[in-house]
Amino acid sequence: MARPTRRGWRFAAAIVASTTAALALSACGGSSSAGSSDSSGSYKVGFVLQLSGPGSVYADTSQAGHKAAIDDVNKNNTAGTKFVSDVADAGADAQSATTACNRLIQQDKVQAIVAFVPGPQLLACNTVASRRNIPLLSLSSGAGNICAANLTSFGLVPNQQTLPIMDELLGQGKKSWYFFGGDYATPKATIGLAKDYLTAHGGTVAGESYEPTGTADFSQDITTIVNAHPDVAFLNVVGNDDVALQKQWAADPRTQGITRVDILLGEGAAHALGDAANGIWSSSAYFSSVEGSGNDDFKKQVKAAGLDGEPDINSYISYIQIEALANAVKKGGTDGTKVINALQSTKIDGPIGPFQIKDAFSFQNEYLAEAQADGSFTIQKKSDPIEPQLACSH
Amino acid sequence: MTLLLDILTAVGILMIVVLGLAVVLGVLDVINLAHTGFMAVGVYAAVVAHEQGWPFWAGVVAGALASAAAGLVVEVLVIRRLYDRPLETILATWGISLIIIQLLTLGFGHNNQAAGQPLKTATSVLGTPYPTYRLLLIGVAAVLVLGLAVLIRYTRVGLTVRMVQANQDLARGLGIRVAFIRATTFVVGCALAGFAGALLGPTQAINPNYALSLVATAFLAVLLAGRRLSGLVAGCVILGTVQILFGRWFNPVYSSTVVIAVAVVLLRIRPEGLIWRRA
Repeated sequence: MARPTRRGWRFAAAIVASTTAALALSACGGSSSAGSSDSSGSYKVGFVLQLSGPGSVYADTSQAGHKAAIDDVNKNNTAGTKFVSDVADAGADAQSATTACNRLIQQDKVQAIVAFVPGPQLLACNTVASRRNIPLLSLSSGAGNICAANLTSFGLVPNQQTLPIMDELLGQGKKSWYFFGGDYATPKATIGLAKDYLTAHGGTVAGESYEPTGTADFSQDITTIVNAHPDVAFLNVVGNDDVALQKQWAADPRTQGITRVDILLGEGAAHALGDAANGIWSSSAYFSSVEGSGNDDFKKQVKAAGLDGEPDINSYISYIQIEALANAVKKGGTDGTKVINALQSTKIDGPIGPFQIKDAFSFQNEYLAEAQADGSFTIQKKSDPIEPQLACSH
Repeated sequence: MTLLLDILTAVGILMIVVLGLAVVLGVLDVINLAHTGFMAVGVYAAVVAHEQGWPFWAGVVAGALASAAAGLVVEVLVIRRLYDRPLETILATWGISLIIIQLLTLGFGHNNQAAGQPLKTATSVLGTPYPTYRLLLIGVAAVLVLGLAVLIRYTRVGLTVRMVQANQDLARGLGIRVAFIRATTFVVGCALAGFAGALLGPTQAINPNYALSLVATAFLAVLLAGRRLSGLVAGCVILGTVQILFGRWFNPVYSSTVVIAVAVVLLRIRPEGLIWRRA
C-alpha cells in the first residue's frame, strides 16, 4: 500500500484542525435563533447562558423553560407582538459573556437580554446592555450586590433563600451549625448573614470553611465538619462541586445524624445523586413537586419544549422571565425605559401562583423541601415572601 | 487515623487518574490533553451500563473498553500521524477533548447523570470507620501500580515497551513492530483513563465536562515523575499529602496553590524528575 504523501498528511491535518476549530467555536461562542427567521415586526430577546464549561450543567433546564415561555407568549399573544429568541453562549468567564452580549446587542439587535449567568458575567454583560438602555433580566443578583437601572433580578437573594430554612430547623431544636461554602462572593455573603442570624436566634456556629471552585475531593472537609459535631451542615457549593460533595458526604458513614442543608440543590442534581440526596433540606421559590394545575401545565410545556426530566428552579425562572417581559412589552411597547419600569414592578400569575417583582428584585413565596431517595423533593413548608436584603441600590 | 486515610485516599485517586496519562507520555512522548475526554467516555459507558441494569463493576469494565475503542480510533486517525511532533499532539489532543465533550453533550445533554453507587458501607480501620468504597480506591490504586510495575519490569511485553521507549530505530531494526506497540500503548492509556473515569463516577459529578478538576494535579504528578513509575508514585504521594495536610492544618482554599508551588520548586530542583538515574 502506497504511503500517503506529505500533501495528504497536510490535508488530513487541515481536516482535523478545521473540524476542531468549528467544534470549538460552536462550544465557546455560538448562537442560534429560536423562532421565525423573519423577525421583522417582532420583539427580539437575547438569551445568554453558559452552554460550554462547567456551568453548562444548568443549560438544558433553563433553555427548556425559556423555549416553553416563548412558545406560550406567542401562542397567547401575551406581548401583543411576536417574540423571537436569540441564544448566545456566555462561556465560562466574563470576557466570553461580554463578547456574547456585544454580539447580541450590536449585531443581532436584540431589544432585551435574559442573562442566566453568575454575577461576574452578569456585570460584564451589563456594561454593554446599560449603555444602550437594554432591559436586562437576570437570575443572579450577585448575592444582592448587583443593582443597575436597567436590571431586574428574578432569583432570590441570600436572606430570602436562607432565613426561612434556618427558622424551620432552629425550631426543630437544631442549634449547632457548620457552614461550608465555595470560595467566592455569593456563598460568603450567604454564610455571613446566616451566621449572624444563627447567633441572634440562640444558635451556635460549630465551624466555617471554604473550598475553591473546582474541588474534586472533599474528604478532608467532611472530616473537619464531622469533627465539629454540628446538628446541621450548611453546604453552599454550586454545580459539579455540589454533586461531588453530596456524593462523598452520603457515602461517608461518619456523617450520619448530621442534617444537610443545601439551598442550591435542584431537581437535576438531586436526580443524579439518587439516594445520595436522601434527606437533604433545600429551599427555593420553585420545586417541581409543588401541587397545582398550573404547575402540571407548566411541566407539560417544558416537556414539549424538549426537557427530558423534571423542571427545576432554572426552568421556572427562565419561564417567568419571558412571561414578565411579555407583560412589560404589552405595557411599554418597544421603549426600553418603559419596559424596564414595567419589569421592575412585575405582578403576574405564574405556574405556581402570583409572581411579584418589588423594586427590581424578586418578592415571592419560598418552599422548604426535603429530597427523597429518588431525587424528588417533598414540600415541607411554604413561607411568606421576605423583603430582599441588598448591598446596593439603584 | 482519619488523616492518614484521607491522605491515602487522595494519593490513591491521584494514582488512578494519572496512570493512563503517564503511560502515554512515558512511552510515546504524547501529552494527552484528551485524557479527561477518555475518562468521560468511560464514565458515560458506565452510566449507560447502569441504566441497562448492569452491575457496577461490569460498568467499570465497559468504561475501560469503550475508552479503549475510542482511543484506537483516535490513534489510527490522528495520533499516529503526529508522533515525534509534541506540539502538534498537544493541539490535536486538545481538539479531540473538545470533540468528545461536544459529542457527549449531543448524546446525553448538559445535565448531570446518575451512576451506580457501590459499597455504601463503612469499614473499621483500627477502630476508625471509613467509607468502604474509598478504601477500595486505595487498594485499586495499589494493585494498578504494582501490576504495571511487574508488567514493565518482569515481562517480555514490558521489555519490548522499554526498548521502544529507549530507542525506536534500534527496536525497529530488531524486528519489533514499533507502530503496533505505539498503538497498543495509546489504547492501554485510554483504557486506563476510561477505567479511572468509571471508577471515580460514584464520587464525582458526571457531565460532559467530567474530571476537569481532577487532572490539574495529575499533570503535575506526571511532570514530577521523570518517566519512571517510582517517580510517579513519589509525585502522587508528595502532592496528595501536601494537598490534604495544608488543607487540614491551614486553609483548604490555598492548598491547590501550595501544591502547584511545591511542584514548581521540585521541578526546579530536579528537572529530570523526582527519581532518575544518572546516565
